[in-house]
Amino acid sequence: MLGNRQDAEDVLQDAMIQAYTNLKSLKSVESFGPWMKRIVINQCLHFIRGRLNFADLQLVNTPGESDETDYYQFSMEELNSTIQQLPDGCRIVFNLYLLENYSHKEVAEMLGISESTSKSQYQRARQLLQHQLKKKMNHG
Amino acid sequence: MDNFEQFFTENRLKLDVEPLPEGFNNQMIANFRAVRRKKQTIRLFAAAGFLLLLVPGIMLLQPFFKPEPVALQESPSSAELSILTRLQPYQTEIESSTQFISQQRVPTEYSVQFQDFLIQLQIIDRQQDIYQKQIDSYGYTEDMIQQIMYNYELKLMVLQKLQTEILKINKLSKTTNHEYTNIQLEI
Repeated sequence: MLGNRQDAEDVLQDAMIQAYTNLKSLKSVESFGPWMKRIVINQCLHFIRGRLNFADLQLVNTPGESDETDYYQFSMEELNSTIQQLPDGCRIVFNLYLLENYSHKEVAEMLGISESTSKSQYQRARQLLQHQLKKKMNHG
Repeated sequence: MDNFEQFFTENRLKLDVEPLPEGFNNQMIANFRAVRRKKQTIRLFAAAGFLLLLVPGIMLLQPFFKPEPVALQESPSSAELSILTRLQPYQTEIESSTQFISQQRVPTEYSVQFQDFLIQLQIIDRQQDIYQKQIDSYGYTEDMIQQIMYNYELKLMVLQKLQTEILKINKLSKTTNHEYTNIQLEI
């Protein structure tokens, strides 16, 4: 989500401190995973909020495009590296919506943007990703 | 959900280049619990340490904070009189009961049955001696008076039970043809 291992480690450390401090709010051992995930994501958002260029998160036009790509032909490392190359704003929306399974409404609340911006940023990320992957496919 | 979303949704976990090691969550919980236990232990030791300091502190300061004697400085005699008036009924009753018991003679064979009563009375008297020493040092306090009254009540109860037991045994011994040697209880 942060696109940088060093930053990720720093944020994880902060998230651990947050988790220790707020351990009382953990209702049951079973909910530990989602609880911890939420803390880490919140810490990530807190970290990037300062440097995130909100101009990136403006509404963009998203023309529809048919997609018949076979994504299984790419390795997970390739896909991951392509996602990391996306611009910060849309990458974060993409991660939260598609990979972390939050709704656009939740993503909008987390990032302090409108729901429609979240949707358009997701579409932008998706287009860029498809474009990059197609380029790789053609060159490979 | 189209082809793109379906693929990423299905493979979202595989996209983690460095997946979490197996049992990571359990390990984290164990670590958290260890931290919580450590915190609790620290609090416990802190409380124990505080008490360890507090108790000797109180003991050291005790001479400076002697309990206030009930006897008023201005009129000690009237205060003492008031206390004695409160304690007098107990003392009279105890004296009367003790006198009655000491005049009774009980069969030697049954004397063991009275041992428990005599031991209880000794303990009560020892407690009374302790109270008396405190009164000698600090004078009477309301708390002390209450404790003495309670001790007197206890003594009276034991004496009454002992008295009943003596009468019962003596009555029983008279109904049999056996000749008993009688002794006096040392009370």
